[in-house]
Amino acid sequence: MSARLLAVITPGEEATALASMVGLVTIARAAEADVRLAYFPQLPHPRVDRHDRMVADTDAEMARIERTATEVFGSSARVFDGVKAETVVRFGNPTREAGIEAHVYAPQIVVVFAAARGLLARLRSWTLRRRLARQSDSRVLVLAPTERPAERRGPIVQPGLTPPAHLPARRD
Amino acid sequence: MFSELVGLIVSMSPLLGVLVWRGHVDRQRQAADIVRADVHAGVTRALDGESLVAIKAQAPTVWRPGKVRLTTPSGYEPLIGRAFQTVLERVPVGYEVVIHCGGNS
Repeated sequence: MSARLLAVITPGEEATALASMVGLVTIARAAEADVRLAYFPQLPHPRVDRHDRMVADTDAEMARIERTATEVFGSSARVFDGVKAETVVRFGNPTREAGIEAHVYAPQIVVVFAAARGLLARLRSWTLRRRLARQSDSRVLVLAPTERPAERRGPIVQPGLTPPAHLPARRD
Repeated sequence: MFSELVGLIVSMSPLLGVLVWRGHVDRQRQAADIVRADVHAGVTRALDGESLVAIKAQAPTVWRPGKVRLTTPSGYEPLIGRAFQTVLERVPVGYEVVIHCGGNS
């Protein structure tokens, strides 16, 4: 029986999850684990037009979000060979639903994606990580995008090595 | 006599508090350095030598757990995969493992 890896994707972390898919698959391969990509959006509101006429009710919106998430995350995971991945979408409070999913799936490894965002989102992410770490026996890993290095403002030129202005530029 | 003693304690308590707090922070940092050295030794052994995996350990604080950060250049993520089990075995409870990959790497 292979190990189980649960990847928790909360709203606002979709892009980070897609960008970190290489790391996720690397971990899954190393642990020889089956991957469950779990996406936890909030319960959607009914979609209305400008005259407040209902275009799509909550069920239709849920079906649309579930279909889109399954296609996007499933196809991004299927790019990599040798990793068995499935996608699950649960609507509601992300922290509570992620706890339920971790309890049901009983994974050995839980992967949480961390995106650099506002203070409230960080607090929410911290709460989720604490809950997952406390609730399950699994190890919690955080996948984060690499920070962009500070951009150089210009070429570094030492004044003593700069050729005088009247000399022609050297061509190597 | 008693009032002078109380005054001395009251006046010295902020200084003593700062000293105790700094001592606690220094101990936490030393523990984080030991964790980092342990993880680095394990990664070096798992990868048969020095590698491009950068390891950084942050000490835990009151409001957040400690963190062991692993970073590789873009395209070298399989190195983390090879050393992954060793890292998990050596990271103590109270520390999170943060893997930086993708995105801007």
